[in-house]
Amino acid sequence: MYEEEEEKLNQLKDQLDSYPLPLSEADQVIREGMERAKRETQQVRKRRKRVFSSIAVVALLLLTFVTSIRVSPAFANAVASIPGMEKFVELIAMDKGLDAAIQNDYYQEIGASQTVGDLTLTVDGVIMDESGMNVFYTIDSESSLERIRIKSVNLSMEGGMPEGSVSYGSPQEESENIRKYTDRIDFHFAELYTSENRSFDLEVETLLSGERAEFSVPFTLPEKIKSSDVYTLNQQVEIDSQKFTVETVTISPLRVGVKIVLDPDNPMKILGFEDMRLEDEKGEVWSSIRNGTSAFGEVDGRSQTYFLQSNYFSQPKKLYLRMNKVQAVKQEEAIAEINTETGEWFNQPSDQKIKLLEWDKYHVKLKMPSEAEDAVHHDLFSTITDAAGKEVNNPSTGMYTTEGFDYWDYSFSPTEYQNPLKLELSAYPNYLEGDVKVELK
Amino acid sequence: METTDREIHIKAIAGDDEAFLALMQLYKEDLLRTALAFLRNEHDALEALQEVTYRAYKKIRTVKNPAFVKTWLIRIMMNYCQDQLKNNKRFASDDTFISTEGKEDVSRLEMREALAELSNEEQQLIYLKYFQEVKIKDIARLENIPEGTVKSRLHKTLRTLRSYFEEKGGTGHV
Repeated sequence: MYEEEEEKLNQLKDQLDSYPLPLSEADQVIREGMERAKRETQQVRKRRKRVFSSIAVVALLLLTFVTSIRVSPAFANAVASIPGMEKFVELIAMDKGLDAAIQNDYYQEIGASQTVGDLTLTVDGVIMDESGMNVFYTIDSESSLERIRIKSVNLSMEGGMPEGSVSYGSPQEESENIRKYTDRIDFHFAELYTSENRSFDLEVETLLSGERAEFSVPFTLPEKIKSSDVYTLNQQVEIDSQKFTVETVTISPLRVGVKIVLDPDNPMKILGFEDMRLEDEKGEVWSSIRNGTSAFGEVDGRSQTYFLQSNYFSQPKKLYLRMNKVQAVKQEEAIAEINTETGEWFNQPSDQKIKLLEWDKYHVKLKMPSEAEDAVHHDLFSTITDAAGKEVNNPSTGMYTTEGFDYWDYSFSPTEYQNPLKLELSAYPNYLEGDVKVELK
Repeated sequence: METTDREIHIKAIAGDDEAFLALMQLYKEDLLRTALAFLRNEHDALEALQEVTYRAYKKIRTVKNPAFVKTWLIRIMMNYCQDQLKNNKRFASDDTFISTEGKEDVSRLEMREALAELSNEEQQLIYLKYFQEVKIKDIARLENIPEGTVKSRLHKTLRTLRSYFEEKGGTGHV
C-alpha cells in the first residue's frame, strides 16, 4: 500500500547503516556518562565515607541533607571577620563545636595552592586537633567546573598518618557557570594525634570531563594544636536493664568522643544511642555530630566511640553526659535472615516492621513505615553473610522516602552465594527508654 | 562461562555496574546510529550517548521487562535527540554530516525533510519500525496497546509522508 514510502525509508536506513561509527570515542563517553550518574547516586547520601589504612576500625556515618541552613547573625559576623571565610559558612553552621572553634580563632589560615592544568586547588585553612583535621579548600578554574568529581583525597606526613576515616562532599549543582568549588574535607583519626609535627601534604584527585588532575599541596600549620581533655570514668550504667560502661569522654575542639563498652550478657543488642548529649549546669546541650563520622566501632562489636559536637571552648562549671533513649533489638533477632530466591524470612524482629517487596539473588527491596517519629532513615544492615558464612558484598544501597514509607534497595555481589542471607541489623525502630546521667565534672 | 544478553539485562536492571557497562557496549552501535539519524553529526551523537548513558544508569531499575531494555535505551535516545532538535534549531541548517556526504541523493534528502515534518511520536514509530526493525507486535507490547492500533498509526504516518511528497509535486518520484 505504501511500498514506495517504505522503499525510501529502507534506502535511508541502508545509507545510515553504512556510516562509520566513532566506536572508540563511544567507550569513553559511556564511561563518562556512567561516572556522572554514579557520582550523583552517591550524592544522595551527601557525604562520602572512606576508611583509610585500617581494618580494625569501622566508621559509621550519620548524614544530613544540606538543603537550607539557618545561620545566626552572631555567627555570620564572626565568620565574616575572617578573610575568605564567608564561603564556608554553610559548611560550619550545622555544628556548634565548629562554630565555637571559628569564633575562638582556632581556625588556622593556610593559603597554600597548586595549579594543575586549568585547575587551582587552594588549602584555605584548617581546624586541627588531636582527634582530626578539617581542611577548608577551594578549586578554581577559568573554565567551567561543571561535573567535576573528587575521586580521592588523602592526607600524608612524614612517618605516616594515624589511621582513621575521611569524609567529603561532591559538587551538587550542575551548571556550566561553576568556576569555583569550595568544600570541607574531614580527616578523623582513630587514635589521638600527639605528634609535634605540623607539616602535612593534602592529596586530592579530581576528574573533570574525563581528565584526571592530581594535586599534592604541602602546608604547615602556623600554630600548635590544642590538646584534648580526657575524662576517664569507667562507670557502668543501664537503660531498661541493658548494661553498658562509659569508659572515657574525650573533649577536643572538633568533637567529643564517648567510648562505650556494651555488656555481652545483655538480653538486647543496643544498635544506637538516640539522644546522647552533653549538658552543662545551665541546661545547654551539645548533641551528636550531624554531618561526618558519627561513631567508630571496634571489630568485636562490643565497644564503640560515639561523637558529639564539641563544647571545648565553653567553660561550664558542671558537665554531664546524658541519654534517655537507645535503639535495641533482642540478641536472637539481631540478624535478619532472608532467602532471596523464595522471599522467605527465617529470622527478623518479631514485630516484623520490615516488609520484603522484591527479591532475587541480585537484590532485595524493603519497606518500612516512615511516618512514625521513631522511623530509621539510614542504613539498616552492616555485614551480610551467606549460609556458608561467606561475606557477601553490597555494592550499592538505595534509599528513598515516599508516601509514608521508607524504601531500601540492597544489591548483592557476587551472586553465587548460598541462601539464606544473614543481614546484621545496624538500625531498627525499636527503642528502650531510661535516664542516664553521668557527671564529668 | 559465557554471559548471555538476557543475563546482562537482568543484572544491569538489578543495579550491577559491570553488567550495565556491558549493556551499553552491547547497544552502543544502535544508540549511535539512532543519534546520527536524528542529530546528523558525530560530535552531537557522542554527546547524546553520554547523556543517554547517564539517564539510563539512573533509571535502569525501572525497566520491567528485560527483553525490552534495548528498545527502552533507543527510546531514551530518541527523546533526548528530539529535545535537542527542538531546543536547538541550528541542527537543521548547520548540517555538517550531510555536507560531508555530498552525494546524498535527492529522494533521501527529501525523505529526511518529510520525516522532520512528523510529530515526535510518529518519528519514533517510523524509526523503530523501519530503522531498528522492531516488530509491530513488540512495539504494541512495549506501548501496552493493541497491535491493530500500532498498525493504524503506522498507516496514518505513512499517509502523511505520502501527502508530503504529493504536495512537493513529484520531484521525489525517481
